[in-house]
Amino acid sequence: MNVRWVRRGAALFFLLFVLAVTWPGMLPFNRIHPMVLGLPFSMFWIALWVFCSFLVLLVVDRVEGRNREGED
Amino acid sequence: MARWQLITVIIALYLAITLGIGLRAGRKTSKSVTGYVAGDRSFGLLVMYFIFGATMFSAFAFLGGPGWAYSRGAAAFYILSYGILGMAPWYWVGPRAARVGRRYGFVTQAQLLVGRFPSKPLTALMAILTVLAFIPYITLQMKGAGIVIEAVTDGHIPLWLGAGLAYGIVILYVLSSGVAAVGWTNTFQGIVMLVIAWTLGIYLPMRLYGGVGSMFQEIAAQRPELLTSPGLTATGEGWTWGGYTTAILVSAIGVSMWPHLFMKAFAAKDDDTIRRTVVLFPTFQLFLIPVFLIGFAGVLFPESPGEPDFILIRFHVNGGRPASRRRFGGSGGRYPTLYGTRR
Repeated sequence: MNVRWVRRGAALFFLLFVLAVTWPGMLPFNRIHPMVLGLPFSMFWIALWVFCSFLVLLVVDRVEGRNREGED
Repeated sequence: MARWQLITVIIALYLAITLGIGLRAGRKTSKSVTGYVAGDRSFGLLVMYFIFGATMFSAFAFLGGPGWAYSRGAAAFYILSYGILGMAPWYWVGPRAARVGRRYGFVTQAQLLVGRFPSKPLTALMAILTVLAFIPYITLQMKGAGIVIEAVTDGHIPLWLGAGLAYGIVILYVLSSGVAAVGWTNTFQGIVMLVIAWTLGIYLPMRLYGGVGSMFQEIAAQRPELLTSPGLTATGEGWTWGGYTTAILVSAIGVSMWPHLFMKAFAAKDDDTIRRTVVLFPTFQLFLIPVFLIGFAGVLFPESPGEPDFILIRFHVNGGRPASRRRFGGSGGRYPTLYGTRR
């Protein structure tokens, strides 16, 4: 995968993250039911974005790491 | 021995261990400025992980987090939202700052900025702003330590003395060992914080409600306004979306500029260590979930502490007593007194 695309993808992801947890992007997901893992949906929704950040950053790190090897 | 005396001994032990770790940490670093402020640029992944985590989740998250969830409900979710947003740019910014630091010998954010834009007024402005911004920040940490010590010793050690003791110890190890001490004490305290938060965050809902799910179902039935953003204000009215959104945006932007994150980037062993710390940061951040669970566990109890910041400690002090499996509600039972105010 191309580093530039991964960076753009990561930037897009975090932009969506901001929109998804603030007004008005959060409105459709700002509800108690259905509860997931025992948590109200609103709380699960934000935790999900935090967890996905971890996955996105893992992918970024893999691709960036491979790219740096190529440079050296 | 009375219970508060036992607790005092435990606190003294904890502080002594912290002091010991702090004083030891400085032995290996050189006596130079880089050794003192940047730990000779030698921090590995373990220390960096906890230093970033503990930098972000200080007394505010540990006491304020349950306090917010308890008194303001979903308003607390903003704390969960901003952390990684502010931290993610560090994947790219951190290694670059560290590279410039190595090349020109910078060990602080101010040096970096003034090195890039040499200007006397800018230097002065940064110095003034840094000092002003750190006064409430440090006050909060000191007060946090004082609150904990006062509450768990049943007031035998007043807030000013507890705060003074805790801070005296910090000053001792920082003056003698510099940032190396901060790194290793943060690691120790970070592990303690993670263990306590996850243990209590799971234990309390289990004990009081029979599980996290049933806890939220009862809150949803009785106080649904607490479970959706933007939650409540400190006075119990609905918080505005404007306030909630602003809190997230300002905090995220603020975090990415924190002077102490720059210092930690300068202290890292190499660029990969900084990058991996950022990648792993969300796993630390999720510890806010049990922190919120601790606060939510208390919301259905009628007698509440006057100051929400005390909620976690109430649990600490009274939560460990053996008691019947009876749920809350009975007058004179265990749980109503759980939140009884002492002041």
